[in-house]
Amino acid sequence: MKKFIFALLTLALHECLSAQQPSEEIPQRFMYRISFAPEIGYRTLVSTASEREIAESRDANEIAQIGFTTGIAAEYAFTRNWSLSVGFAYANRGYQTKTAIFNWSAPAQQSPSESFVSYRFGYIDIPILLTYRFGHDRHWTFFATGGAVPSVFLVRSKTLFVNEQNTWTSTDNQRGIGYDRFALFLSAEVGAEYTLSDSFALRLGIVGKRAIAASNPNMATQEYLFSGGLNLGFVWRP
Amino acid sequence: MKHPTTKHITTEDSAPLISAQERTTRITVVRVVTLLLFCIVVQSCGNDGLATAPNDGEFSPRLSAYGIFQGTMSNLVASEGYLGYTLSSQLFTDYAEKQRLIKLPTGTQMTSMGDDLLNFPDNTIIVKTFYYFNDKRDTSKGKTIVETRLLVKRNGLWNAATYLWNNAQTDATLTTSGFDKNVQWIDEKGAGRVISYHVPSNRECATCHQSNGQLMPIGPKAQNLNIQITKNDVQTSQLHDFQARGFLTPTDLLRIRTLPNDKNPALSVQDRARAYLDINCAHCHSPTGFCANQDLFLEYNTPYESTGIATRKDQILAFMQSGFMPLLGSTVRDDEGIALLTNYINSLP
Repeated sequence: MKKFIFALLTLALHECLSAQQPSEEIPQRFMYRISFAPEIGYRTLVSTASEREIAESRDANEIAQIGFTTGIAAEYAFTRNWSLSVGFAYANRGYQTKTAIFNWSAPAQQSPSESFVSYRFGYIDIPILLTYRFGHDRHWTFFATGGAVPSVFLVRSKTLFVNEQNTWTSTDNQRGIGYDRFALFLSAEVGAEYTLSDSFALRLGIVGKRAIAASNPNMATQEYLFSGGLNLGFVWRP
Repeated sequence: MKHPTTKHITTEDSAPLISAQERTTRITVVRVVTLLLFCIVVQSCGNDGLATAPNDGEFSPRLSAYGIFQGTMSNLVASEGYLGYTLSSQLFTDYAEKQRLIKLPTGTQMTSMGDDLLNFPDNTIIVKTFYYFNDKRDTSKGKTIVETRLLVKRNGLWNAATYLWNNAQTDATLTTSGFDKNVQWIDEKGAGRVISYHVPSNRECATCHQSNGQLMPIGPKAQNLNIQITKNDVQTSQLHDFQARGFLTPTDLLRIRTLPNDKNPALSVQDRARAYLDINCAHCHSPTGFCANQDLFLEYNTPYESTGIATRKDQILAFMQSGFMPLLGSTVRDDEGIALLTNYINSLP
């Protein structure tokens, strides 16, 4: 199913960009964008009946976590209002556990008092987004963007944070297996661009992304990551 | 002062137009890039890096259904018919204690196949329970049981399942997707320890336990069972005890080698390190294991010159020290094991 959706999206993009008549003289503007988006990330769990207890236990213990996405994109404007962009981004999204408090049955030389675990998933995102711009004036332009974000999984980092005598230490465990190499997110963003000069603009948006494919599709309890936050960018129109 | 102006795209504005040739070139570039992208991503679809050995046998949703333990389950008292056993060298799993049991169908026996894995009859159940003493200095202070793993042989094929114990320690639930659980204990030196213990998914089980694409037990090789145990205050051979009790077919035990105990300081560093590599790494790093294509064969009986260690010394240590290896089965570094391997590798020519 994921392969099919991705194939459809890619071929649609392909056809869209190449369907016009070569002889047609159209105005063309390429824009380039660099962006950084601090985001809050979490996941939803979909489980079979046999693992409902497991999913409920995780839902009771796991909470959202701050992540980020940063990347570049090239945007092609078809008309005054519509444009299509393709880019590359590194996304670090995930979730964490609630802080656990420890009581010790006997005096110990060292006795951690609390801990939590952070789960971070690294992806290379390839956002393919359609943008509609409106409300143009001398400085401000508003936009709404939506599209698909095929992603390639890089690594999952599990970090245990332990507090002992008010000093936090961490132990990191990284794994590149156990999660599907390919993920597919849907993305939506609204915001505004502030024109600084003929060639440069600042961009600020509110962005949300949600996986429509589980990161671990072969498991009885499947994780669907999502994230949302501010997207800060810089636009260059050469 | 020049005011910045917006650059809106319209079909009427005076934006420079590109030539048809340049446009064709750009379109070609876009076509190539998108199709390349398509190929790369589709190639990576549906692959999570774990083994695809079949592990889809049916298991009861509750551990209690098997009647493995009699009385209060958390006391871990094995029911009649379950045979306890120990291994010479044991897999490191985040300092967890382990109880190992085998149950053979009535009237059947295990068969020795030289030094290798024993041959088990159909409907054999191998049980391994992972737990932590609350205070390892004083085991009477109780324990926290985390998981029980089952290996069951049906119709000649092994299947694995993992059961996660509940917080009340009254039963355990079948868990196929894996689970992380906070565990705390006081170690033998009196230090309070906290870890996020990972209960493996059934696909992780299959990855380490697969050999030639089929699931297999890892620990109960004859050479790893061929140790002296104390029974009724008398030292005896564990394999001989199995024979005496009718669990193992008659065989010449003198022809079976013994895997060294990697924790025994009286043995040479070489023997201990090779035993450590055997029990911790060789299930994947063997000619039939998950990492067979790595050309690193770490079974104890493989001659040194055929292992590939000589050309991978630095890599082995670096991967262990960084926590990249082992890939599965533990979440914290085995500092004692790394120290042993460091001594071993430094001793090599």
